[in-house]
Amino acid sequence: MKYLNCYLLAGVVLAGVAGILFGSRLLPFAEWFRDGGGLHPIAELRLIRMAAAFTVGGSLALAGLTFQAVLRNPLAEPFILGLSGGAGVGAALCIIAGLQAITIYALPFSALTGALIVLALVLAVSRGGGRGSENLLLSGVIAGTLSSSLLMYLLSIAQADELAGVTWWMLGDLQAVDEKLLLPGMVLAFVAFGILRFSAGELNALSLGEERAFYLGTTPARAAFRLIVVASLLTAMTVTLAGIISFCGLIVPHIVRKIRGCDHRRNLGSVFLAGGLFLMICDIGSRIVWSEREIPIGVVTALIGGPVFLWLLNRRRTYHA
Amino acid sequence: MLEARSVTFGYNGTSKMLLREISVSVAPGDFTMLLGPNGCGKSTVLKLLAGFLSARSGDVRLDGVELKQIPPRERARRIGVVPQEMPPVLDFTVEEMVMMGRNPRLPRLAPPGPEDLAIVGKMLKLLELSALARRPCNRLSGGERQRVLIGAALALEPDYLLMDEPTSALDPAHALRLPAILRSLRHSPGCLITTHNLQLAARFADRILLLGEHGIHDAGTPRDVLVPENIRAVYHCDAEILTDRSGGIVPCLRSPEEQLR
Repeated sequence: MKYLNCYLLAGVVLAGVAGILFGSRLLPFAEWFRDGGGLHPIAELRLIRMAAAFTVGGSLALAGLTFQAVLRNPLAEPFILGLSGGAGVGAALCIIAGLQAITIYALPFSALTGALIVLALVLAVSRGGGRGSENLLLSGVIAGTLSSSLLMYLLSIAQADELAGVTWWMLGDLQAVDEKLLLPGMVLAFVAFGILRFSAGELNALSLGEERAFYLGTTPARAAFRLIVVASLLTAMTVTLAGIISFCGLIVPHIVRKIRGCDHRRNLGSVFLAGGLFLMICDIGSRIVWSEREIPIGVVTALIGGPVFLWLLNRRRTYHA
Repeated sequence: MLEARSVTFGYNGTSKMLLREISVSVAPGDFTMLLGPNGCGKSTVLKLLAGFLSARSGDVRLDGVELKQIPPRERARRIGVVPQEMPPVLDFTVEEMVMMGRNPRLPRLAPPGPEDLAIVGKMLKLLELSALARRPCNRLSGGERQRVLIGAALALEPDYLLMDEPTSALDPAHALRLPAILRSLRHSPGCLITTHNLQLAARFADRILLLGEHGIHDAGTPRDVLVPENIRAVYHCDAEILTDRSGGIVPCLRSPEEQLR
């Protein structure tokens, strides 16, 4: 589709407007601005939330696309290297230890620290063995399993209110996004997009395997390492901002590839925009479906992503039959 | 000239050397075929010449410069490789896959230009893939996929082309057409092609390298190399060398049953 990016951009603008209009109560356009100038507080909160949804959704989709190409696994998603487990442990420790009482940034930074520790461990362990993406994938799965066990233990000793806090955070939460964290997150997302766009040829080559990537002029191990670090930092940033939001990074790249093709030179921009748009729509849905009590965004993405994922899985099976 | 000089190679973790002190060279415009039984190291020779594997001793040079000293993109622009398999993961279309062959020549940020599109279109036509251009490679037959790999390497317009059994999945008509396609290219590249197809090698090669268990067994023109003694020594089976109507040689291997009779 020739004008896909234009349609997606228009969709993002429309979703942004809808995101300010709709919520627990309707905010008509006439009420968006205060008499003395500036935005109405609710409009401002919703605008920040929409910007966060776009940044997080776009980043997760980009990270998913990168992992799928570099690991040569169409079912790879941003948390495949166990980052969600690490972030979960970090967040749980923060909540249980009561660090949030010290600063409101304790939770996001604990989650970020957990995710980065797991990333560093996975990269360090997988560099031995010399089997490239296979090693990385196995190390990620093991790190994810270990941190999940640790998380389960922490949850088992947590008080009821702490348990609720951790669970809510693990289901993804765009309500409490801090604008001071959002700005660096947006900068990181756009810088990462630039790096990935510059490396689109390498992404194409790596998706064909290490040997072919070498023949196409890349240095496979170095390029894969660089791209995985970029994708992991994007993922860690989304966890810091909004907790663990599943499925967005898995299904958006698949849908865009179906429309725009597999060439990363062409589909990177569309994936970024589509990921952002997808999460903006899910966030609006999470607010208006059940207006008395907001549904966690991770539940909405899973409700949409689950069936799509099964459809993709089924489609691949028939494909290779 | 792309050359491997006195190269010895063994895979990591083994003390056994697969190749010992072998020297192979490909000159511009050369059409050399590399023959030998399974497991004798034909593909390894190509991977060494392409720089993917590193020799334990000896060196590989491109126009006198050691291959390791050449930046990856420049090396890839000059040496095209057609590998044996293309493990399909993402649903790249035929056209995207052939365009990917030009990766080392494409600018990093700008989309492919008119010249790139024209070359890809030409290769699709040359390899009879135009009708399949929009089809995902996952939905192609083995022979069609092999033509896509060849198309991708040709679209690069390299100075040297290393092809690993490029006709193994092709039907006879497409296999016969391949040498003509390679010779028709504007910048006719120096080609080194591994094959088990002795008839094809006899008919089209300028030079044949016959690889045995202990390195290069013989090298020279098809008429000099494809003789019953060499074939017996390397493949351990008898052969008869016939002559076709144009005076070319046609090696015919005898089956074990025929040899017992």
